[in-house]
Amino acid sequence: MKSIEVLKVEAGVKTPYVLLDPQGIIEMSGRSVPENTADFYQPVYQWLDHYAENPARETKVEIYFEYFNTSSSKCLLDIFRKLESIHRSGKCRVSVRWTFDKDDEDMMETGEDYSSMVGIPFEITALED
Amino acid sequence: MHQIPDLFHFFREFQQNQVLVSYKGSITSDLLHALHEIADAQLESIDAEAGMRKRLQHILMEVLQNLYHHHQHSTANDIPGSDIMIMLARDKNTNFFILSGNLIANGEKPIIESRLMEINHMSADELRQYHVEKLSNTELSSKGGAGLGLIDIARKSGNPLLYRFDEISDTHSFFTLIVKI
Repeated sequence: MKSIEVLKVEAGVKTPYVLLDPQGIIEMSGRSVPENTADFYQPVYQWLDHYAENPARETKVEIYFEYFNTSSSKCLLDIFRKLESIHRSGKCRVSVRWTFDKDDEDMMETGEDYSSMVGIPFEITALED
Repeated sequence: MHQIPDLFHFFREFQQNQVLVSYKGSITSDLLHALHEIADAQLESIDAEAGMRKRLQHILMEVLQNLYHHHQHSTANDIPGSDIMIMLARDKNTNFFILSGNLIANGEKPIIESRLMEINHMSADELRQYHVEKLSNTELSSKGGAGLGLIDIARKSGNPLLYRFDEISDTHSFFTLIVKI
């Protein structure tokens, strides 16, 4: 089987930093406000579909967003759903750490909402200054 | 005779209404982000509190992207004066207002109005629940939006959304959305 490579995207003005590492590390941070979110997230979906075939024993997902628009929120849910199906396959234990700035109650609530929507363990942590 | 705009008149109006940003024109991706940056710089210059600034930035981005997505697919673009308008202002009580305006087809009016009425009738908890439901059950539309913009704006604003429609012809109206923060 062709091995899967690391996908790393540096943060842009409208787009987040993304790291997808087949060793079982997924990181996304910054802001996500592109107009055409589907275009930006397509490679992430593809990577995850590929990763799902032969995932690491454990996948740690680190999410720390400053801000994202509503269409990104939909893409993020799609990403969590893909991770959920990897988790449910029994091949891999997926866990998410959702970090928010301690004053950002909205981002905390958003993390709680995702946690209620998908069946993977979420740890929601406030980041002190 | 072609009338030259009275700049001082606009200056005084803007001064009185504490207008921080005002723009009328076309809306492209670059313009949208430029406007967002200008608004942010203005908020920084008046020392808006960090939490408020973040909230305003968030709502402004959603409002601008709503205008952008609507504009991309609007039938109103062919008619003269199809520009959008956006304004960020304050009042004496330090409330902020984001006002946005764009042309819509008259047929869209009842749809927009019923969505706004539905949202305005919900409590904060109901809005949160509705947002979760919509998020898990909706696909991204061809416009690129998730139909979640107004719900998100209402949640972040914490106030009912104000709006009006000014009919400009048999086919089109100017739709104003006023978000109080």
